[in-house]
Amino acid sequence: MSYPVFRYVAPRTLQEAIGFLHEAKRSGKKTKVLAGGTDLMVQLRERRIAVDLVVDISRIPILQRIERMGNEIRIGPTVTHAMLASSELIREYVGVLSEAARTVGSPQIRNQGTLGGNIVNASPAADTIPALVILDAKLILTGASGERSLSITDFFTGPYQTVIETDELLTGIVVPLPPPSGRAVFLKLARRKAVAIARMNLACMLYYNRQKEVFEWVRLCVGSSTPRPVRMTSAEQALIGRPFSDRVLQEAGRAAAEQMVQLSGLRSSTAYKKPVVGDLVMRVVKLAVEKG
Amino acid sequence: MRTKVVGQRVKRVGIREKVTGEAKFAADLDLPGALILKVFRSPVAHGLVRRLETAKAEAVDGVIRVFTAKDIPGENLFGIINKDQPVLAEQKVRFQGDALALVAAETEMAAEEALKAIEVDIEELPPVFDPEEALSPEAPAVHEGGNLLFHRKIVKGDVAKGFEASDMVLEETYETNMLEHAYIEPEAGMAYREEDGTLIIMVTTQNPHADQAQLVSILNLPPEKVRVIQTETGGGFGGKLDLSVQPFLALAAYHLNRPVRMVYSREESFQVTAKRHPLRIRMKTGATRDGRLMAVEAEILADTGAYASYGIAVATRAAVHATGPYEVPHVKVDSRVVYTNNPWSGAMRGFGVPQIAIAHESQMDKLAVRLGLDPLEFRLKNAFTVGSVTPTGQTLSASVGIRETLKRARPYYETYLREVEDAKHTLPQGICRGVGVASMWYGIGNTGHPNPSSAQLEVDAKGQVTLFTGAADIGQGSDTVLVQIAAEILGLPYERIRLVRADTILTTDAGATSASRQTYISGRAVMEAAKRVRQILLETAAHVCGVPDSVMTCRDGFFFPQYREFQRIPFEEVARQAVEERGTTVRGEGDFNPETTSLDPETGQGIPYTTYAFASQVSLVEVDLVTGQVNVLKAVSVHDVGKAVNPANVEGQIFSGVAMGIGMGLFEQFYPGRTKSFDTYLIPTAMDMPETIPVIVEVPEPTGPFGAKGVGEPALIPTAPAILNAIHQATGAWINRIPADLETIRGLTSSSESHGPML
Repeated sequence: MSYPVFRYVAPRTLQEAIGFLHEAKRSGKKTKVLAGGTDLMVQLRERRIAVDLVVDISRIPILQRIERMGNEIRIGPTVTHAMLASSELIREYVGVLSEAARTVGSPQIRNQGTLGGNIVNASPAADTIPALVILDAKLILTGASGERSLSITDFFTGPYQTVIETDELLTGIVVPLPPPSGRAVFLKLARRKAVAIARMNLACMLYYNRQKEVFEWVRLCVGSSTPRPVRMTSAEQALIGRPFSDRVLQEAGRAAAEQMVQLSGLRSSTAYKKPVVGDLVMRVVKLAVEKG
Repeated sequence: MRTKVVGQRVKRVGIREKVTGEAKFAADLDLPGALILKVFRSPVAHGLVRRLETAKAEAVDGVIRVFTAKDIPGENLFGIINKDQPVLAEQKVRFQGDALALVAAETEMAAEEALKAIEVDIEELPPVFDPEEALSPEAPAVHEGGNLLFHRKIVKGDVAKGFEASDMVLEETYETNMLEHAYIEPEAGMAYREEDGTLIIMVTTQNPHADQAQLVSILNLPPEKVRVIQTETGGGFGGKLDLSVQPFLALAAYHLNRPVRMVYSREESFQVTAKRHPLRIRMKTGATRDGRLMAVEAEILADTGAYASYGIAVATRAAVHATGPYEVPHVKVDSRVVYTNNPWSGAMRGFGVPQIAIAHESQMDKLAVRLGLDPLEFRLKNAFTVGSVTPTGQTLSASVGIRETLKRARPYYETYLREVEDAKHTLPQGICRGVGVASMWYGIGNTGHPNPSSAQLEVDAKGQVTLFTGAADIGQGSDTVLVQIAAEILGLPYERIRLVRADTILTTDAGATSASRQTYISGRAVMEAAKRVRQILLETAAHVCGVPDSVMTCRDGFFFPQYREFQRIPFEEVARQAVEERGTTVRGEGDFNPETTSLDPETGQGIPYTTYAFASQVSLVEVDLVTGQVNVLKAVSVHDVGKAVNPANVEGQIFSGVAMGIGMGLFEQFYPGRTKSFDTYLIPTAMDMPETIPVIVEVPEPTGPFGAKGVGEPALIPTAPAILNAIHQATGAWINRIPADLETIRGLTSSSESHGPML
């Protein structure tokens, strides 16, 4: 099977890239941004999308950095999953993102696929997104007229749908350093152990106050279970201010399951996913508490 | 017998070229000016072709020609057992993907444009997708002769009496699913015409000589004008026994007199080539209180889809092996294979035996549990031995290693059982472990049919030895095994043998690379050829030494009279003497056709195979009751191969069988019309492999080369049943339908409610 014919450009600077996107939008051309291509190339080959222009941003050095700036970690969109998995900075400050990146695909896919691509592709099963949600990450979108910043949860509008404009580029992922009291866990459920799309992927960060024996705060996100990534607030609420017990965990699990069904409706997968999401929420909370 | 090459872990023939990438696979082949071929296929599953318009497609820039059924000079039908499949459908389409037209173009893009420009009107007929529905008189007829392709019956003793004499009778229904072979290399080939008109087809295949015979009939050419050459082949697992790209390549090269090439995309390979037959099996098994099997009754229904392919072989093999490797006095099997409008099913590693083994091995464990017997001991008690009579009435006379495999598996089985017991209270909540055992038997070669092989060996004046074999090495390692056998007989290092392989002009028919038959049958043919060459050279050497040839022998590249090694003569010198001094042609032919008899149509009695491979496997699994995940931790696979000609090769087969069995048992399911690639068809990765311990048992087969039988398909067969039995031990639940996926396992152990306190 051949690829469709399209124009391909590989700018070396951010300005050039934005220029291409801006120009294409003005002239009514369909554009796609290529970061790692692990999703885009498949979509092109299968003719699932039509494009006139592909803007390859993988050769723009400024978009490939991981750096700490004060109380934030800034990650460029073309940082690969492999780089995230091995970065000392990521492991030290936001280890849960490193764990999530390590579960993506295979070594080949992790070497090629990028964090920015994972976000903008907006698959409900994306592995890094639940981790970014519980880290309260912000996204920076840059267009010809300037930048805007928004919370990661405001970025998605549905499966494979986002608010990004065709002349905008995701130029940065900003992760505030989590409170030192937080304990985080990432859990991926899939049909096999590698090269697998998540059946469910959970990220949880919480602070369990052992003196007071209560959950002080909890952040929970379950991927592959809702049309767009959200915090499982009802489950979080079921835990906050309460002790670590079977009953409390069960209530949290049930709340998560109900929230999932409320947001996704009844689907053919619900019979499996509803009980499992509840049980896995219990499991992930327990693992986080056991982290001390 | 002490051997020097046979039994050694010699390096694979051709491994350097594979590792460095020098080896040429079919898709690597190209000639200047080669055209690209693409097939236009039926979008519907069942219908009558009213109009097929190709003019617009032929007008596309870069398109050379579009072929339809009327361009086929010979018989527009193929099929290895039943000729029922058109190369290009003319009047009727029977599955979504039936070929209708063939485009030859300068570029891939032009060919794709042409496909879009072809117009077809098909009057849709009601399709039938369920094999049971296909048998009803009102069902739409997929083929003119009705939907029942074949009914294999086996009757031994009187099952009614057997069940009467049983204390425990168990009847269950099992279902297996449609599977994709998932070989690493999709179908591909190249063809061109030589100046004398000979058509050369270079193709990835398991069956070059049968391909050639079918192409001769399709093209209506004299046999000597069609030459099929097997390229390096990236796996087949039975899926490359049928024709795929061959007739398209041949047809286009024949008409256009230009080189043509064709490579299936993964999607095309998935959607239009053979699948594993899904089987529905109702099995009733009776045993006495003390654990003697008394009777097995089985009804088997196999869905062969739109075309027969190897359907009859699958139905027959499933029937013949239905009891498992156990003595059962009373047996009755009815095995039917039917046409539907599903993608066609064909040969796939084991021909129905991996499916039937799920049934007989689940029955064994269920009976053992109910009778309060240890599953391994229960098997041992009933396992075949020399003198046992099979369901087809054959008395096993030698090489019956099933008991030995069980005995060798037992220490692992007991250790794992103890470990599971010890770990019971230390595992996290929701996690449990279990141990399972499963056994199998597998007849080597075609069932109840002659399946000869032949080989030639030549030695020139310089002592260069060339082995000619028609056997296609598809990655399983027959090249290495055959060369080892020849080297052993001639007393040479195996590197000294040059190989000419699987070329219909240069080699004679060795039969298909299927049915685990090449080591046993072609290996024996090579052995016979090598013995003849050896005899010629012994006579020459004896003449030189002035001794009778009966006292001559050869070893390590020298000929010498026994007990007088100082008189040794180098192999090359003997060859030179034979050719140059004595004018002898140093050439040997060998052939072998193991004894079989056709099975009686009413009772199935007869000798389907000369010899059988046996195996037992122990599986240790961990089950996550919350998620439904099954993690196979250990697989101990014990195989009676007669003689391991190359133990590393045997182990390789065992590892691959375990991998494939995990896929079959836990992940794989092909949904017609929906499954298009590895995106949704999940096969195991290296990460999903358990610690695998291969154990080789060698109970020699007297008719095999150095006692060897076969292991290619046996390696797969016990894996899925052992996993299912281990899941039962872990969870208490039986699984009668594969795959045991997340939903199945979660559904077995809970309602739709949360596990709650289990955490």
